[in-house]
This record gives sequence, C-alpha cells and structure tokens, in this order.
Amino acid sequence: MPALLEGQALSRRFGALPAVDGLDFAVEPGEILGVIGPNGAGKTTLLNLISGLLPPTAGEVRFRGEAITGRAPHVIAAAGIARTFQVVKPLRGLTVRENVALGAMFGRVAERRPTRAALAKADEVLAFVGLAERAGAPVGALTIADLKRLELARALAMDPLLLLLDEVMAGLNPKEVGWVMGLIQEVNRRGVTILMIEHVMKAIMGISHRVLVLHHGRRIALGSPQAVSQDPAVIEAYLGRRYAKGSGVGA
Amino acid sequence: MTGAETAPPGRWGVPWLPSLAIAAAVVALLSVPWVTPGYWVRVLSGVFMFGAMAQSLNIIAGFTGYADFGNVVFFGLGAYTTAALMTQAGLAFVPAWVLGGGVAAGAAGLLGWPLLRLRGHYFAIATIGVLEAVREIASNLAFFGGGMGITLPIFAGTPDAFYRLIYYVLFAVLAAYTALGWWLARSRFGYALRAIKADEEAAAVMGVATTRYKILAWSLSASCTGLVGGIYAYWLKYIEPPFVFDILLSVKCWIMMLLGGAGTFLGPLAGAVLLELLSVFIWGQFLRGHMLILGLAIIAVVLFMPTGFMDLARRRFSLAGVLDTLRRNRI
Repeated sequence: MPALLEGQALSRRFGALPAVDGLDFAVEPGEILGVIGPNGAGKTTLLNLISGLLPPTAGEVRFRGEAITGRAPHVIAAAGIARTFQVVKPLRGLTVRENVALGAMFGRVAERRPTRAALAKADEVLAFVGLAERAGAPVGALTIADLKRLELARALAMDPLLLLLDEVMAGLNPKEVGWVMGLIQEVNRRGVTILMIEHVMKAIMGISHRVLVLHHGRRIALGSPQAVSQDPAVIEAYLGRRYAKGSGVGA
Repeated sequence: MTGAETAPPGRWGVPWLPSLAIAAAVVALLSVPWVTPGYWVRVLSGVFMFGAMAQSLNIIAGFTGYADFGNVVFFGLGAYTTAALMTQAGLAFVPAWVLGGGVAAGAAGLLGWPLLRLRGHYFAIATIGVLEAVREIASNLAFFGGGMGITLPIFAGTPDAFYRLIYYVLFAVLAAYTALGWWLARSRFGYALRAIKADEEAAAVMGVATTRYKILAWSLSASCTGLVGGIYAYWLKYIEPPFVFDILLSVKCWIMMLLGGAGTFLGPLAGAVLLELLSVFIWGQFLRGHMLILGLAIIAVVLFMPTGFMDLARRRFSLAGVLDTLRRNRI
C-alpha cells in the first residue's frame, strides 16, 4: 500500500538556519506516527510545511500520491489534512460550538456541511472530546486544557484523512494525558491516520505505532517506540540530555 | 439577497411581540410620506441612507475585521458612475444605478487583490490613500465633470412624488441590507468572514479560502455602498468630488457601526438611527461644536462600549470592564 503522506528531501531554511534539512519521511495509512526531538529540531516547521503555512525551500510533499508542495493551506485542508496548533488559536467572537462547526462547514471537501448540519456535527464532536457542556460558552472562558480539546475538536469536525497534532498534551495533568491518549487511539480506530508531535514520552511511546526522531531538522531514528528508545543516537540527542539534566550533571 | 420576510416566524422561533412591534414600526414608517410630507421625509431618508451605509461597512469591517476607513470611495464611485452614465450616456436611472454598484464592486475586487494582504493599520491607511487618490482623479476627469461636478437630470413629477420615491427606495435598500446582515450572521459565508476576523491562519487551515472570501466581502460591501451613492446622486441632483468622497462620511459610518455594535446585524442600524437623529435634533443646533461632539462620541464609544450599546444593554456596566478594555487595547 502506498504511503498516505510522503516527504522527499524536504527542506526549509530560515536565513542560514536549516530548520528542516533534506528530510525523507512517509506516513502509512492507518498508523499513528509519533514525532519527537529536542526543542528546535524542526517538528513544528515540519507541520507548517505539510499544512501549507510555510512553503518549503526545497523538496516535495505528496498526499495520496499527489504533490501538495506549496499549495495554499485551505487547499490542503480541503484535500483532507487537519491540524492543531501548539499555541492554541481559538476563533474569538465565535462560541465553542461555532468554532467546531466551522470545521464541519469547511474542512475536507467531500464532507462539507451546510450550517445546520455543521452545528449538529459540532455537538457530536464536542460530546466526543468531553466539551459538550461548554458548547455555548465564548472561547475566552475556556481553560488551557479545554482550549487544547477545542483544537482537537475543530480538527476532528473537518473529517480529515490525516490529522496532524502539535503537542495537544502539553500543559495537561497526567489524568488528562491518559484521557487524551484514549481519545487519539479511538480517532485512529475510526480510520484517521495520525502524525503527532509530543514531548510527553509516556504518550508518544504508549500509542505510537512508529516514532520518527528529529534533530537539527534531520531524521536520526525511525522505528518502533521500543527500538527508538534504545537507540544510542536518540539517547545522546534527546532522551540522554534530559536524564543528564535530571541528575544535575548539566548540559 | 434573502429578505427577512421569507422567514416564517414559527420556524425561526421569533417571539410574536417583537414581530408585531417591528410590523407596526414598518407600517408607521411606510405611511410617513403620506401623513407628513416634507421635513420628516427628508430627515428619515437621511437616517435610512446612513443606516444602509453603516450596514455596508459592517460587512467588511464588522464581520471580516478589515478596517476600511476609506469606504466612502465606493459611495463616490457609485454616485459618479450613476451621474456620468445618466448625463453622458443618456441611461435611465435604474440601469445607471445598478452599473454604479457594479463599478464599486469591481473596484473593490481589483483593489482587494493587493490591499487585502495588508492587515490592521496598514490596510486602514491604504484605504484612506485610495480614497484621496480617487478623489483627485475624479476632480480632474472631464468625464466626471472635473472640479465642476455633475448636475443630474430633473425627475419628471412633483417634488413630493420624487422625495417619496427616494424615501421608499432608501427604506427598501436599508431593509435589504439589514436582511443581508441577518443572513451573514448565520450563513456559512458569514462564518468564514468571522473566522477571518478572529484568526486568518486558523481559518485557512480549517479550509476557508481566506483571500477569496475577503475579496468577496469587500466587493459586496463596496457594491452596497456604491448603490447608496447612486441614490444619493439622484436625490441631491448635483454632486462634486469633495462632497461624495468626503472621509467624514466614512467616519460617521464607523461611529454608527461601533455605537450599535460591529459584526451584528442590528447594531449598525441602531447606531445610525441614534446618531443621525441626535445630529439632526441636537448637534445641528451647534454648527461649530458639531465636530467636537462627534470626536467625543468616538472616544466615549471606544472606552465605554467597544462592543456597542446593544451589547452594553445586555451586560451590566462596570468600571472594571472599562479598565479591562483599556488594558486589553494597550491604551
């Protein structure tokens, strides 16, 4: 089966700094691919390249076999790629329900709904992510944990084929992390392919089928969570430094 | 354009008492030219005109969040196109008027392609620049009568009949624009505009073709403004560049929109009624102080009710709220 999403020699430079540097990757249909790496490894830049917010300086992105490199974000969304933002971007002036309904009105082109059906879909998705009782609230009234759920709900309302998650668990307590892990697995079971960036190791190791490790915009490892966590290069670049910090040896 | 009358009350859950009050107000307004021709017809025609202009501005500024301070340029374009087509090309009012709206929409479409890439202050300044430039061009274009202005053909009928016609046309236009605002507040198109206002990047990744929607919104807003300009030209019978490209008309529409509540379908209407009646009956008495009072009104609106008085009535007034507004706007 061909990959759902592929990157070939994908690069993005900011001035002299290569944020993503000749990256080859593939997301297989139906999988949960975890992406980890130290701060500045190029994870969010990678998401911006896929979702069309940034044009790559070189290389190509293919979705379902078709090049989407340099396409506008709304075209990529219409093709079936949804994303969340690490720094949440709630639509102020719209209620929680309206925020989610917008995803169902636009989103993947085959699943676009008229307003009334979109609002019904929003209620359904809000119940799924556990935000049903805040449906009528203005987004300004939500806690950060609820805003993260709203990001997820909006993306889900778009009926995506591929869901890009940018640190949806950052800032959540362990109980909430466990709950969101279950949610993501359920979304995946319903047929949505997932690419998730995460710093919460328990989550990424717990639910990813494969893990991609980035460092300085390059791939330093790719494999099962088990294999990656024992990879010397990964321990050196990412896991190891954390342990070093933790024991006070200093980095 | 969908009219409000196409909505059966039961279906939308409209309570019967307000519906009855609105129906009574509409009947009263429709009978004004027959009951009391003259002064009131003129005053209310002005209220309808500004209401329609504030509603037009609301589409791009209130719903979409693009601060068009020069939107009167479309008013002038509509007025001038209507006037020039009637005098130079010998067209009747209605085709000239419709083409005037089309020219305004086309101008916004063309200008929107580069200008709607600008945000915030930059867009606002660009719209003022466009206004100044177009006024200068109109002042020097022979087709537009240059600085001499244009005198329009006289209406064949009694003055009373003419002012009655203008009154009804402006009333119908205001009603149609209010219905359009009502539709925008709940349609898919309106959702897209509100999402653009809130966060363009988030809107785009959710599938909203932001550039297309912004250009559509500006063209719609411009054609609405341009159609009002065409009626104004036909009404006043004489137009010249400083009158119809006057930035103070834009400022007035802004105050009306903010006063009532930007991004709501009744706000601009309520703001226009209040401000225009106030300015006719109170400020009209202070010819020199008029501008000063207008300036103070802007400051008061921004400080005390940034979301409009329709919203203020719903919330309770509090000093903490005012201070919070100041802080959030970094004043």
